[in-house]
Amino acid sequence: MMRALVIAGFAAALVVGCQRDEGRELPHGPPRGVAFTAVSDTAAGVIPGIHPQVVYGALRNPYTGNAQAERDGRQLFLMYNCVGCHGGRAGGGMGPSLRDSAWIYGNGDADLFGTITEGRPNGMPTWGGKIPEDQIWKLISYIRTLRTKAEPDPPPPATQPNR
Amino acid sequence: MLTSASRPLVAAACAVLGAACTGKKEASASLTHERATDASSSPTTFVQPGADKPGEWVSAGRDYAGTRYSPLDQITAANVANLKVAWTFSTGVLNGHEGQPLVVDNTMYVTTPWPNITYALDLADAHAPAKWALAPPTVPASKGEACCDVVNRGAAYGDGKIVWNMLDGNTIAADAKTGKQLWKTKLADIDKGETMTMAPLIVKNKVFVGVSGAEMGVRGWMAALDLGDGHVVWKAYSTGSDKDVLIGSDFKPFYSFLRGQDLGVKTWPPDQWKIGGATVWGWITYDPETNLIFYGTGNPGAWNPDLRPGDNLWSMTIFARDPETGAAKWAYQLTPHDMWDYDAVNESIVADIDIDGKPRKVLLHAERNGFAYVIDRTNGQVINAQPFVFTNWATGIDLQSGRPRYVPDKMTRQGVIIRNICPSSTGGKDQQPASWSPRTKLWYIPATNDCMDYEGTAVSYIAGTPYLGADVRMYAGPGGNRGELVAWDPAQGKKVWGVKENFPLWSGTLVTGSDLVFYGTMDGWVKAVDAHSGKLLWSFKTGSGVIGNPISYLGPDGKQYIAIYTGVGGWMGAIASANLSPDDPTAALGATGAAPDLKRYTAPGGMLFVFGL
Amino acid sequence: MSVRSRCTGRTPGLGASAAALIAWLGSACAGAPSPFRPASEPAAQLASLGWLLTIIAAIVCVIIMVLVLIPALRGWRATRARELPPLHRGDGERWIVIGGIAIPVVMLLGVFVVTAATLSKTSHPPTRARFMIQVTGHQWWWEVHYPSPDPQQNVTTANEIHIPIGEPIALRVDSRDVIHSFWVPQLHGKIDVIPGQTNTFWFRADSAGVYRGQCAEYCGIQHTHMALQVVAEPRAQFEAWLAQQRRPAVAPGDALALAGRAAFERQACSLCHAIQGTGAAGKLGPDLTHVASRMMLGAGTIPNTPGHLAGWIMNSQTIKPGNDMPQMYIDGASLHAIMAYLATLH
Repeated sequence: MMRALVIAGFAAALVVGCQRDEGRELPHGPPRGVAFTAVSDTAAGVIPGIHPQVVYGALRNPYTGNAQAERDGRQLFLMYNCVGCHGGRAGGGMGPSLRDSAWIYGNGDADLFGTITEGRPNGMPTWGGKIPEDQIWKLISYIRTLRTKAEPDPPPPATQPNR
Repeated sequence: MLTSASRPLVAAACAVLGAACTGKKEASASLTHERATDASSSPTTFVQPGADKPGEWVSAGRDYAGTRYSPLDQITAANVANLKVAWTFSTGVLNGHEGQPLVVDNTMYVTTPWPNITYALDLADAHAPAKWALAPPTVPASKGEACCDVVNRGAAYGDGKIVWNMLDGNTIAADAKTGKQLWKTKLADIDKGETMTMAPLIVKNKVFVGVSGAEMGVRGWMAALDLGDGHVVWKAYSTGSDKDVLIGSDFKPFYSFLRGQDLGVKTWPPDQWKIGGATVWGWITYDPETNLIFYGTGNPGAWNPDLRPGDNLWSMTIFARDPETGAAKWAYQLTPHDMWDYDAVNESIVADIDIDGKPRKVLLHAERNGFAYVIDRTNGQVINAQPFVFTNWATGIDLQSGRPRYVPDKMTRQGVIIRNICPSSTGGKDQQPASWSPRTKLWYIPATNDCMDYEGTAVSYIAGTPYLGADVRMYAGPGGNRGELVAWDPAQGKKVWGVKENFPLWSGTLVTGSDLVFYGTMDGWVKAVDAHSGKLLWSFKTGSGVIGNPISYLGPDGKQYIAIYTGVGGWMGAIASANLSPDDPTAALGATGAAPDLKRYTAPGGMLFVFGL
Repeated sequence: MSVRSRCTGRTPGLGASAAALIAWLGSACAGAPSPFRPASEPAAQLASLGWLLTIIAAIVCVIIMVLVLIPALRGWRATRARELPPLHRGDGERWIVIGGIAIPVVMLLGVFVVTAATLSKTSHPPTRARFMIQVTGHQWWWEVHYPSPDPQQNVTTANEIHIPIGEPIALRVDSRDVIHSFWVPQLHGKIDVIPGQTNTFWFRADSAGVYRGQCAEYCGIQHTHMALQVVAEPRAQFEAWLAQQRRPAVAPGDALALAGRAAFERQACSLCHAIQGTGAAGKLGPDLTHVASRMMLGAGTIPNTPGHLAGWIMNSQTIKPGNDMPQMYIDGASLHAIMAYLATLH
């Protein structure tokens, strides 16, 4: 009886271990649709960008702090050609750097979501209707890791082998 | 030269006719153009630019041949030390200022990067006020489609008209006297990633323009527009069937691998040629003697070579075409199945030189792939091709077959990082044009000495977004100097002297009749060196990095001037102009890795500097 | 599910192992893709080798069991009789030298020679392979290329390999992400699929049939659902298949399918999938130019029927959790049209 319990416990541990190590995070089904709240009495503010409370309500990234979503976001960043404009490790190029502290259109979750979904006039394409929402949130998760220790696939060393 | 008397009449007639003249739209296939005057068939005289007026700078490369040689000789090795700023002009644009101004009839024409404003500055007035400025309406979204900064490489002049390309895909013609927009032809579609950045070339009554965007999966083309009303006379695609590429019965390539039917389709996997790049964003030259125009096509898309097995014709190709019909006479592919982004768009300077005691009609083409090609312009035969910077992707060019001898270790592919490929994607030399002096018989090449690590990556074609598929990181080449001014003897195929520069040499060069070579550096210096020895004779530090091309002209006061844009940017300078993050060496398609320190040396700022004695 | 069984399966008892072995060998008769049911000459040689090794191992196992049981039995008797025999230094030395060193060395050497001979015999095709297939492993599907000297004739498909019977086929394998292993048990031995390295080998099928292949190196949560079909058919049939695969997709005739094509190009589909002859040129997921001609979907996960396909498009995550295809939000009418269009892609 005791042995059976030990074996069962061991097996259970293995199952859990496997899922933690190998399993990709399954989609949690983040909130569909965007909560458009009426323009409230919120002041417009002097910082450019879409004010989160005005257009997108209090949208929050459901994947905040989710390491697997950050890694998935890195893959999506490659897959959807984000790298082409924003640089191999988001340092910029055709589009602005995402590695610096400047955020042209605001840096709230809802701002970033709006920027990716709607596009922006200086060259950012509209991705709404193309990239599913949960993947947009994963992209935002990845962007949040830039310049932190959690960054998946950080930049290669900036050595100058011939100098 | 000009039908100057008739211009005000046309303008007046337009003013009277009003709506009938302006905004008239005409759709032809996918193209539309607007014109303000009906085909003005008034007889015009066409003179080779600069031939009769050595003091003018009428075409991007000064003459049809693209020599960037000015016969002016007032500024000499003896007095150049006294050269100082005569006047300046701020363009108000903070992006990279490639290209050069034009000087025609005591007026200087300055075309800015996006939003592509053209100013006509009156040189007869000491204040150089603008006679006119034209800022055609444009969309900021086009900025998101330009691979390597929102640059413009200059305007063209012909028959009293100034013609330039808008980043958003329109070609504009304005009256050189009044600045009135005469016609506008929409050629490129930014929704597909097509933009226009190159300087048009005007030959007789045709304007030659090409498309940019090989990084966006566009299908490259070159078009000839009628100078009178802007309609498309012919359009030659760089990929696709012979019919689309305007390859006919009189197409006679020198090398056998370029012969065959529909090679623009057959040398690609199915459908890939439709998004195969091979854009025409560099310089066009013309040789009246053989009556051919010469231009090169860009890289095949995507950068990941595994996506496109085959030679990928007609990417990386120099075309010689009949300017009237567009029919290709010969073609030569410099880098078959490109694996490194070595576009062949660099200028092909038309020159007559003696090789082995025999006079030869040649093209001088310093290629991104690191080789300086001397090509017989009558048939496309390579006479010699030697590396002008450290080059290790090929051991040489086989003159029998015309193909490079590839080094297998440096061939890139998906999923593998190939290290230390030289030169880097930015090339031994990018678009910044070289100059050729018929006096010294030397060719002054602004070179880049960078190497790179390159890994092909998975990529999907998504219209209007970059279609790259490569993770690239560049760094300084052997020696550590990232740039070099190379003086090259094309007859011998060897370097005569070189001036090392810390940063990649991203400006063009100018050589004068007094044997001085002018160029600028990315850290903001404008320099003059002796054309025989490379000895530095004069330098001046401008406010921003120089990536423009110097010109020389004779002012109304009879004095020689040197003019050049400053304003850092472009592919290599985007780190400074677009404030990229130097901690990501893969940013800006890998160029950030090559110049992470550039921001310490320069900041954005677009200016025109004019120097005089 | 499969993960669980793999994980719990790490503590098998002897009986369970034996049962599993018997069940596995037994499956050779049940139509499963067993290496003991070879369908080609080299695979038969590998199967013979497998039988030889299995039999030797079984004999050794039995002998050792007996050798373990004899002293155990004697000791048990002695313990009962309370007369433990005294131990003498050097008693077991001869046993150890002969039974523990000499016999294993001879046997392992013999096995080594036989194995090396078989592997060398099967490592090179008897005649030069007439063509090469390139297979790229992805998490979790197989990208298949039929390269041609004429790039226009290249064929790209997924999870289904067609080959002519009786001809050696050269195979090049590499991976885009993690280490996989390519194995069609009835046709050849395993070959590792390693990112950044191209491995080559060859195989052949001697009789017509559909052989299931399987990733044989654990590669993530959907390792089990990384299968493929190898269809061996007579040369003429194969040529016909290849010719069909070389054709770009034809424009559909009816309005519904046309609308489906437009929806495919407009929706997220075209970001990842390619259909030759249309604007869709994504390279991240399987090429769908001839998707309707394939037997299975999701790398051997589900059969290619309209119902399964619709379910896969809308939410493949419920079928194959963790795969790269996101949950799609397509309205009913668009899905209907897309289905109609995909059905035309033969």
